[in-house]
Amino acid sequence: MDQTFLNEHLIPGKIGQLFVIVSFVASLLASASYFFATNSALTASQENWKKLGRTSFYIHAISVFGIFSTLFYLIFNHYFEYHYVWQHSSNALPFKYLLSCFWEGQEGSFLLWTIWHCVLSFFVIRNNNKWESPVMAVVALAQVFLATMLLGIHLGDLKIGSTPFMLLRDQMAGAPIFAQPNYLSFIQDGNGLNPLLQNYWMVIHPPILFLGFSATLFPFAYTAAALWKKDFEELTKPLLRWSLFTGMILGTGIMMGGAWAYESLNFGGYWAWDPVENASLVPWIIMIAGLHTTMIYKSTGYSLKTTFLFFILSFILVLYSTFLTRTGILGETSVHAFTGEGESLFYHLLIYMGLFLGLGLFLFFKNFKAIPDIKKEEEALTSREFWMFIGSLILMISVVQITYTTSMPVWNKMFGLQLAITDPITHYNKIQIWITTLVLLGTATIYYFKFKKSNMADVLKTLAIPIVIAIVCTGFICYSQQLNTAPIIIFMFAAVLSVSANLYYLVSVIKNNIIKWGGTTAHIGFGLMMVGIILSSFNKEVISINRLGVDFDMGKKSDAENKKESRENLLLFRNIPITMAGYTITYLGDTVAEPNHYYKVRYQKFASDTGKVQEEFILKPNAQINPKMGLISSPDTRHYATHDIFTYVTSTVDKSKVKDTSSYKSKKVKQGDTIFFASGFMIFDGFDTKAFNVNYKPEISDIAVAAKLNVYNLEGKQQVSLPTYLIRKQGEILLEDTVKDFNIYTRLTKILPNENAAIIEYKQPSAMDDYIIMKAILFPYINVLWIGTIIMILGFFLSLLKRIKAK
Amino acid sequence: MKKSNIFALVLIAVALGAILSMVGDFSSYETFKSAEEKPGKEFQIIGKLDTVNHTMKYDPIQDANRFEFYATDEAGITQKVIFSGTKPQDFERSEKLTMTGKMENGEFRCSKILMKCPSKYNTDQVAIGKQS
Repeated sequence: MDQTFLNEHLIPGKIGQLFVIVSFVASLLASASYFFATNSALTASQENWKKLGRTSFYIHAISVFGIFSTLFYLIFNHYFEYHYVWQHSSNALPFKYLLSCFWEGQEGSFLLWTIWHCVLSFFVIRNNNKWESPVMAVVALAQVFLATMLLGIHLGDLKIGSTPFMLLRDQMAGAPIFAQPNYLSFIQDGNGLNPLLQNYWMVIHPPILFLGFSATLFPFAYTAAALWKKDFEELTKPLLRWSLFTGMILGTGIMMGGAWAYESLNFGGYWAWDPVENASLVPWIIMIAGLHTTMIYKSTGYSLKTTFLFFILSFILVLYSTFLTRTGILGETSVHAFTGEGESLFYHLLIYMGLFLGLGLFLFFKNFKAIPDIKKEEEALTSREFWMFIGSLILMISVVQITYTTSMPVWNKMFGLQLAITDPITHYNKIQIWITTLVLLGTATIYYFKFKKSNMADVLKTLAIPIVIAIVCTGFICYSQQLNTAPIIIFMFAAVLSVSANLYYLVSVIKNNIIKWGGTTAHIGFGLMMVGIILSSFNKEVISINRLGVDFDMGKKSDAENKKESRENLLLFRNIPITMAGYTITYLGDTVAEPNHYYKVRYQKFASDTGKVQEEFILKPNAQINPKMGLISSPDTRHYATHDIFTYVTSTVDKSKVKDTSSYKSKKVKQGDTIFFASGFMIFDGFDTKAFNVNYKPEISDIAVAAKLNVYNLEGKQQVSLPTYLIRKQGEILLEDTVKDFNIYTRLTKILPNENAAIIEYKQPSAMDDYIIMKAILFPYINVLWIGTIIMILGFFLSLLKRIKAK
Repeated sequence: MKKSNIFALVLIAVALGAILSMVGDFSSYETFKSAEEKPGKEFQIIGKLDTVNHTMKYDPIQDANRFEFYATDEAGITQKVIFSGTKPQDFERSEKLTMTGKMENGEFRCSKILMKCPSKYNTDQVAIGKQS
């Protein structure tokens, strides 16, 4: 007999599950219909199939939005009987983060991915041209696979996908709580959203990154379509548009991830060569390579084969990145490896990847001979296409190296190894610096070469000016920033040259024809990004160096470096100033806005001659002391035009465990009387029967009186303390008040109405019990990186605009 | 043969060379014993925190950058570990530690710890130490 349960909301879940099944069936139907529309010989039946394909795809898209809306409805209403809702949200979650629940879980992420495919597909259907049927057949097939990820059905022991509408009691079947019909009354709140995701960057970064991932399907689909139909006419337009769009969006998504890491994680940086970061970077690099080879094909007729391979690979590597991040295979190697969802997803993704790789390569080799290419004499070493092609190959070296190392856990699993990399940053940097240098030299010079053949004397003559500018600028930058190692100087020169050469080309050749600025602008942006990366990372300096304590060998060459490395954390007692890198810093105390603790750290700079305060600011790095995840520290950063000061708390004192050894002192005061304490004084300003301290929660028949105390610290700053005396149900309650900034606790213990006086008790806990341990890092010229990013994205946008306008 | 093909071959050779040259950056997860045999070289060791037989020591007021504890590696050997940083919150609750560092005078000097905690959250790893 089925047990019945109270207060469950089962209808929306059933509707949601219906949408899941309809979306799966409709995508299958759409893919098949579009397949027949492509392969059918008769025009009339082509049209009929196409109509059916379209209708099914629309039904599919509507169902996908149905799934999304239903899930949103469940999350919004906090229906914790659903496992997904319980796992990823809680009652206290602010509205703005409700959407973030979608990308915390596996089901939600696949859903988001599916949604973006649907949205982007409308642009293919809207064009209503010969590409619609073959392209949509491929897109719908990809949707079939994503839809199976959400099915959550069992075939014997095999579980296919997992549905977001799974009930908590089914997910955790057998738990004793579910034996009670009213189990829901015990589940008052959900597990909650990962605090790291409760951040505005996390509201915008994942959807944009997923849009970029989704977009990689379209160059793939057009490639497959062209090979399938053996039709290579009117192909460059959609390829260019889609690859530009993907490059722009994926690039934005990746860099937003960097900005998020910088703003709110305590990595101390924006890029850490973490496997998850690499997995999103690799498809982008291949997409960029494909974009450039498409340009070669458009202008000269060369390298279409390579282009096809790039676009096939880019999509497959997006699937691979999902495989790496979602199946838990990364294990120990990544900070943000998501937990594995078990064997079924592992094989599910492998099949998805294998099938699409197989499909792409099958079409490619089957039609290899049909792909247009130019058979002709030696190509000129002085042609633009030759160097663009070489540039694309260089990008592929970067891809191979990153993928090879990132896949280490996969090799380990495949070959039973146990290898790991101890210092990933150095490992990647030492080869990527050289690859990027070559790429930068390419971006700097490519516009000076002409297609087919160029006159080298002319090329060198026009390049002379930007080269001289770059040499001068590089010399100045390296001298003033003390960049003193050869690889970095060469890298810097290449980056600066990329900026100067493209800028010069823009000014002297393209001039004010803004629509043609795209390529050069993107190159300038990329060059600036690299300049910013070199400046901010080469001279990145941990300024919170602790000069106390014992030495510690950190494996650095010199003693000085060793000392520096081992003392990056600085202990700050409250109100006891310490000098650090020219600043006098003081920890002023914390304020609590649940769940965050904000630690106020004051930075002051004094003029050396007069001793006056030249500059003063307060940083409030925050930390959540999360019962589940421990200390989650988010930095606070002071932004200057030329550098950032990045501060975060690495450890704090657990105040609940500190035994307060200080004791209350007592004093009888009349209005206007002053009480002195160690770090200030307070003046009793009479009684107040209207304003009370924050701890007071009024009840009927309360009699409450507060003593108004104007508290001053030694600097003359004033705050008000309102210790409250309360009579409730014949009992007296003393409500203590705390002025945290001044570290003073007060309470009103007695009111003497006859004398119009009060007895005030006060104490100051020891400063030794209140401290933070923090780390401060100086990032010079990090704004150059962000500005470069924006310029590069703008360049993509201009190029895309040009390709859209070119009807 | 076309020039671009020659170039492509050269590039592939360079790429292979570069990747092969970096094999030295990879190391297997070691044990305290094997790390002892090569003092001064950095290794990654997977282990478990031992709080039964030993106590952790962290006194931020004396030195905020020194945290001592004992860990048992996969071979079952317990060793003193000195981490140059603050004591990670909830370190007691860690199930598994991946420590990067080297052996010196019978102590494992560790600059980075990745700890795995039992957690209800999806992202159940917390990284501590220098990421850069």
